[in-house]
Amino acid sequence: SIDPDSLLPKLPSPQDLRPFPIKCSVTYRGHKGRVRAVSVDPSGLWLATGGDDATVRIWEVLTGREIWKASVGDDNEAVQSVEWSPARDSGILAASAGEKIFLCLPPIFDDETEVKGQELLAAGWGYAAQHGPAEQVNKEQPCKWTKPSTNLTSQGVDVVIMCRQTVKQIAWHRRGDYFTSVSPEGANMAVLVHQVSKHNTQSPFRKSKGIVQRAQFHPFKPILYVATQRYVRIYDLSTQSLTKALQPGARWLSSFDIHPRGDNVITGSYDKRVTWHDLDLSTKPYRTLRYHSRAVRDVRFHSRLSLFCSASDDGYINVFHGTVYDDLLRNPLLVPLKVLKGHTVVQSLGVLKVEWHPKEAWLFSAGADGTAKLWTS
Amino acid sequence: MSTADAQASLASSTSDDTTGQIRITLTTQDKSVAVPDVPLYVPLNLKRYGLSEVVNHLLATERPIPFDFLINSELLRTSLQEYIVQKGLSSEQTLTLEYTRSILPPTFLASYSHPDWVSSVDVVETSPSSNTKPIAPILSGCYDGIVRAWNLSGSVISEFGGHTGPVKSVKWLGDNKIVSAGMDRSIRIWKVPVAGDDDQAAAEEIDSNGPQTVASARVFTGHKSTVEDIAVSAATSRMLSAGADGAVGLWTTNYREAPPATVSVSVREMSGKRRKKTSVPSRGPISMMDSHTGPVTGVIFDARDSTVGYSVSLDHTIKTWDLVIGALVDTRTTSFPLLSITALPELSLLCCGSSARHVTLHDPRVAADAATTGTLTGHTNFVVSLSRSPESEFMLSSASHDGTVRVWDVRAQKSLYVISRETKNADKVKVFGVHWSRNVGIVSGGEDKRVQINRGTGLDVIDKPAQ
Ligand SMILES: [Mg+2]
Repeated sequence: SIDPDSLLPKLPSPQDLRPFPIKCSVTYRGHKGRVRAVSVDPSGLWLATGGDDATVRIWEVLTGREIWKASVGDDNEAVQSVEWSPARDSGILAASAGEKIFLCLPPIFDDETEVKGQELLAAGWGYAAQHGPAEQVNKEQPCKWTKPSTNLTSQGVDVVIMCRQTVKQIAWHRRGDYFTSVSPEGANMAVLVHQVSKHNTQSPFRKSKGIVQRAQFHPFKPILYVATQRYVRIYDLSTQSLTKALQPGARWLSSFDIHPRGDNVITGSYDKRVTWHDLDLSTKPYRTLRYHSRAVRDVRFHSRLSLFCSASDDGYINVFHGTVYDDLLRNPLLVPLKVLKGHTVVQSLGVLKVEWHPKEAWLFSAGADGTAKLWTS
Repeated sequence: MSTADAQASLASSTSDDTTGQIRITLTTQDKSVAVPDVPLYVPLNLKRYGLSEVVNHLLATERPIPFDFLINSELLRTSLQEYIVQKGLSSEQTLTLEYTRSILPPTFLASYSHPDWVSSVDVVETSPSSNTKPIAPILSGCYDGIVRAWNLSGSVISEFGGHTGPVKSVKWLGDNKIVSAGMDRSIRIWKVPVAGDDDQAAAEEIDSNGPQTVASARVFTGHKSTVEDIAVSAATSRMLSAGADGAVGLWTTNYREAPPATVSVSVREMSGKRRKKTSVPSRGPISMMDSHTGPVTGVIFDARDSTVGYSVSLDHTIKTWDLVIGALVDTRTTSFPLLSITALPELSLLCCGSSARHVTLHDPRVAADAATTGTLTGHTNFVVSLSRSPESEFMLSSASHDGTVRVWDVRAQKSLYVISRETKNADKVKVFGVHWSRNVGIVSGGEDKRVQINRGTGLDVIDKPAQ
């Protein structure tokens, strides 16, 4: 008889797929309570975090030293999201707490960068006044762009955007002028698109199609991906039409990410699953990965290397290799590489957010245990 | 005592040993401790310490000199028995053992407390014959933005304040000037206050009045991000800087000769109104060499030719620079982000500390595509600072975020000694900087907010013959 295993294609061994993160090298300690957000700046030098203590903090990546802190959340509202702008020349950090989005210029960059950032954030003042009567602005604008209090200004906050519901997620467009925000309770205004240079916010959807979890721009095309609890819908922004709706088969999605080449998507769900979708194949998953024993909180692709990962309330981060081939007929190659253990599960919550280093096979994570961590190869 | 006597007494002292013996010949390149070139039998279970006793016995030394032993240029780290088993040799053969002076384990001497993390340390070296020993030879750079000069009793003699962010690197520039650089992107040269004629009186004055504060510095700007490391060549009045902006800066230490600055660095109130800033007068670099594609973490001058410099970067490369024309000469690519560099010039080796927890050895003379000459393994986190031994051409020390400084002989892959922090939770305290000083010992600084001094005697136990 034939051993059925011998008919399976041989997966390469993890050793042959190095480098990938294997070890926690830095722990960022200082937050009181859960760390909910991590983002590393485009140079890879400065890590931004946000958490339940209503602070945004910046850390020297290699040493774990806290360099800057701003208390932004009113009444100790948790910081839900922090995202560095991809524009390297202006050093803008966006953060959300409660119903507000904060655009900050942390005082860690050179004078030229800081001036550029200040000019960029200041250019939009008065845009709304010039382009429409004030009462119309108040009625139709889903958000209000305001100057921060002196207290916030002194902490490095330059703009506060007042939204109507709690902002859970922010994602930048690659050029750094637009970003999306997601307020799951926002109904038809759950997804908003904000333009930094004009201090302008638009609501791209008329109707609510479910509780929105995340939204993200395509890495290089005018396409917006929006995840509700069940589906990831793909909208072509140039034709303003829905082009595809992925069905991961999960009851409640927590997260998704888009492969740097745009044609593959991973999702994570509260029902413990990670799915890989090849957009050329089907709207159903190409592969469903069941490695976590608790809810999956976040999934991320590396922007340069063939790596992706999932983070879970089981306290672990699973690291995978994922090759996408140019040959349309050749299926993606997925190989589990490593389980990263180090975060402590606190009150049934584990690893809440992950982000890859812009160049290295290094991974940042935010934990309910009050720490952020750097995992290196 | 004759060799035969020595052998007889060795044999008798180990007569109850049943592991057998092996024939060895002892050789050394150090004529001051040479023994007769006669084969002798020693027990197979001898390790370095036992062999060291044998040599001391043959030398009839009054105070024992510690020795290390090499077989085929590789440092012996096991018993002779284990060695021959490992190498598949027979105990019938004669082993040729080369011995060299060793150092004793570096023991803890003192630690000096700071208000914040210590990023960098340096010690000014004075020749033993010199009469003018600086009263505060130990420099520390601190995350509170202040550079401090310490005397050997652990008092701060001078404080240099002006950096508006953490200090990341400090170096002596001759024996009355220092240079510092840090997260505020500036490099500063400071004059060290000269003590009175009587050092003792000066020291007493300090103790009663507290440290002297130095606030004026020559400021150099040009980097657009943190300056991670600096190297100085006092002889040619040049400095090199490692920028997190990816640039290697070449500067003159003579402020008046320096080109005008093109990048400004402002002083800001970090706590008060953020935008209130004033620009500081500064000078610029001779050149900014920007071939690296990631943050530069370490720079050194070639020890023999100060028109040559080397830099390491998170971009995985070691670059060689021609400092006369400010041009890139060579790039060699390693497998990991690099965080620190030092050289062992007598061996023509560059030693680089990596994020992957090891120190790699490279010969800059061989072709760039040639593999790494060696790898030193043992650290369990980033290796962020390296300092060569002032006494042995083969030895260096390394500081790591794993909380230790390790002492290495490049002829062995494993470290000779591990120096831990003399603090609570010592294993969770990163070490950021190390300097191995002939006069003071192994000086290191770290997250425990301390400069720690360890000293291993040995190489200088007996006076070396005049050179
Ligand atoms: Mg260093």
